Amino acid sequence: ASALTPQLKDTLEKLVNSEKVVLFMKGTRDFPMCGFSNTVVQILKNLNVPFEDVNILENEMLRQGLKEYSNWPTFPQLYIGGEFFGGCDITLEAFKTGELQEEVEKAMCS
Amino acid sequence: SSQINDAGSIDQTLMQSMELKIKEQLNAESVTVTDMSGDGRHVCINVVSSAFEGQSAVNRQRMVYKAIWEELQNVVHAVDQMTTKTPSEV
Repeated sequence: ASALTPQLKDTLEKLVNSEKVVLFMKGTRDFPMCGFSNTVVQILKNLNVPFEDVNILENEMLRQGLKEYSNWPTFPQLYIGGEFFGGCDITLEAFKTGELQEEVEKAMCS
Repeated sequence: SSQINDAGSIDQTLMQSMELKIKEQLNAESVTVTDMSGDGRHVCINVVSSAFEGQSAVNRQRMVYKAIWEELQNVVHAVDQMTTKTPSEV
């Protein structure tokens, strides 16, 4: 059975567009509950990017629905400009190459 | 009963079944799924497949995730590391 009902899909679409940068993570930016989530928080803080953090451990329906919405079964999940950007390793790699900063700046200006 | 208590062999079976699923669905040249934590909860995945040609890093990982979606809902808690290469990138 699919966790992603049309209603939930609608909610998620609004959520990923609620800020230019949205991080779905385990825990919060101040209390990350997983090393991978923490890594992405530290990267965003390093880039001085304003972002919304959503703790998926607090909402099982959101957690399951988002996996299908993103076609991505693990967390953290980073959204930039309403688009799925990647998990921890893709974000870390893009941070190193400067691509992440580019994407963020593009989203901030749009 | 010794087999039932042997968690290691269950994990090995799981790793092999994930390797097979990825190999079949992506027509992969080589696949290794390694148990990093000893209990199958953290794994490391390396895949070489020509199906990755022209795909972004995100889409390549999505393709692998799709093949083992079920396992990732249950036993496997995290993919610690994943490499996705085409034969020419090896």
